[in-house]
Amino acid sequence: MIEENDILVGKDIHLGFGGIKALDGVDFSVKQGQIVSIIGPNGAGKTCLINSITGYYHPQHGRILYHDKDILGQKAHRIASLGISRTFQDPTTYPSMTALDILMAGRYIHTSASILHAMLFFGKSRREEVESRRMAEEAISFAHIEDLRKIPLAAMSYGQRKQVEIARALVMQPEVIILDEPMSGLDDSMKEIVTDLIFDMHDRGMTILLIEHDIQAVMELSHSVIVLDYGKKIAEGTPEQIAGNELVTQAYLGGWTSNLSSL
Amino acid sequence: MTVRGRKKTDYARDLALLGTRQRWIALAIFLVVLALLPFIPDWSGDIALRGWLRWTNETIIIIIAVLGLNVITGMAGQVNLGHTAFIMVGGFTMAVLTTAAGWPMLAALPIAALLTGIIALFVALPAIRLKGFYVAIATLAFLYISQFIITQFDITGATDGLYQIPSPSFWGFKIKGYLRWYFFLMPFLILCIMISANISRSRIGRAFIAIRDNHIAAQSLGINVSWIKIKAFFIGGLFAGLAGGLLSSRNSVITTSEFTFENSIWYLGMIIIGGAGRTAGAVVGVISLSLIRQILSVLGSSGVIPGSSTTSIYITYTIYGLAIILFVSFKPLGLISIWHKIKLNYRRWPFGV
Repeated sequence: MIEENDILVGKDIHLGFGGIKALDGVDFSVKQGQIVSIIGPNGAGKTCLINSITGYYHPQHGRILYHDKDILGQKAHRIASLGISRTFQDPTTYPSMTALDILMAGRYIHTSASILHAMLFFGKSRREEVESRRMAEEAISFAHIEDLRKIPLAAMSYGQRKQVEIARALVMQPEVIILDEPMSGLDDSMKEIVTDLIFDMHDRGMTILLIEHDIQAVMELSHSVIVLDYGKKIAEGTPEQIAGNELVTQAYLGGWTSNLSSL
Repeated sequence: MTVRGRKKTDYARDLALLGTRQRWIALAIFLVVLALLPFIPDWSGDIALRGWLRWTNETIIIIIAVLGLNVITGMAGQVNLGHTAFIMVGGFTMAVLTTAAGWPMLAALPIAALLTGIIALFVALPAIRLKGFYVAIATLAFLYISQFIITQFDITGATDGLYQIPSPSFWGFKIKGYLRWYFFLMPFLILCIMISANISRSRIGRAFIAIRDNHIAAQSLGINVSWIKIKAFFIGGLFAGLAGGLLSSRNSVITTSEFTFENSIWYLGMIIIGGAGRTAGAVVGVISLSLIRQILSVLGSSGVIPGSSTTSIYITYTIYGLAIILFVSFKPLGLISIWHKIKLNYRRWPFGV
């Protein structure tokens, strides 16, 4: 049913909103430790797909297997606690929280102090806080955001928020990390920082599912690329295969065609 | 950028509320001031000590209640217009347990807090399905429903309320008079402030703030948003129930009519002006608004403000309304944000403002 090394597999996923078919029989598979990218024009269903994986949308039909277990239809917070972590396209998630608060909050699934513990701040609560802080500091140095520690998200630049958002997904120690357009709106130097972060995460053995419009970054990073168009998967393969695919080029008629052929 | 006076070598120290010696000293001074506070003479002669202490005791109880509202509305972002009803439930629990069941006040107090917490938890159930404005309306409905229910039963005194609620006593030593009450209430206040501060620096406090800031993204942290809302109401109810229990015992009488919608609005204003979501903000908010109210009422009754006795009440409302408008537009993070800014500027001096 599920191939060896496959960690996340989608089968025949159908998601509709009224008359609109957002996902129309999409299949995909992600192997453990790989970087897999989902690309496609705006409105192709990329974010719908990851919202379905992370429990924000509930597809009407299909299956999403995570380690042989069907997670389709489970609640978002449940899926997060299973080890699938995601970032959001809009990085302004918790405007009033500082980077440190957000990262400490990212340890939620790994802590379990009760209300009573929290009220008195002793025993378990205290131990967990110190441990969470240690993990948060690790993520801070990993994402190079030392100077943002005590700055509220609302006071940060867009790029800094993206960095915090990635660090937040990381501090959750997920097995699979899903990045929704981590490079959109960033300049080249920031893109490079994010690219390095993704490579670093890969080196740490994480499986990465990436949605990205920056084709160059996608080609550079991915082991495998999935192309969506109008809710259907039109191609899947290595970056080289995708670059040469006739259908993909057609789907990207216009701005991106030249981009693809230049690779 | 040099950070002044901060040398912390481990995370436990950095997490501590009283991480530095300066803070311990500040706390010691503060406690001494609190101990001496009731002995400060009053300016208005006759009402003297009593008026001042009565106000202080009332304010302590309100702070405890508003700390609870601060958890529900300030931290978790669920606008609660029924907070006064939670206090009422705590007050009536105390009243019924001590008068009808004959419990001692100190035994009834934790039950009052706990029962209010549990009732608040049920009030949270509609809040799970509702958002923003609708939660406010649901809690408002709870205020009127609970008042209606309480006035329907003889055991809760029907429409007359309950009388002769006993004061606490320790082996024959009765807590009566403003001064004894002051020293009886103070440990509760300190405990509640500590608990509130602990909540906001712990796992659950961050979950509250996360769902307030973004309840959709918060799910991706693994936070069960419905469950966290329920917990917020439960904790808020505990504070309100404790405050209610203390209040009805101190007043020795309780009627549903003292718990008005207007009070709920005052409490909300207090956390807005103080700084929503912050323990110190709630404390500062209650003290400053209560102080304004007290000063104006003293001025009104002593004839400094011309006109009838209601004039000062109207002035109070006007100032209150104005303060909220000004704070929401110019200092949305409340009075406490001014203090944080001063602190930040001190640390960064002379590098930036």
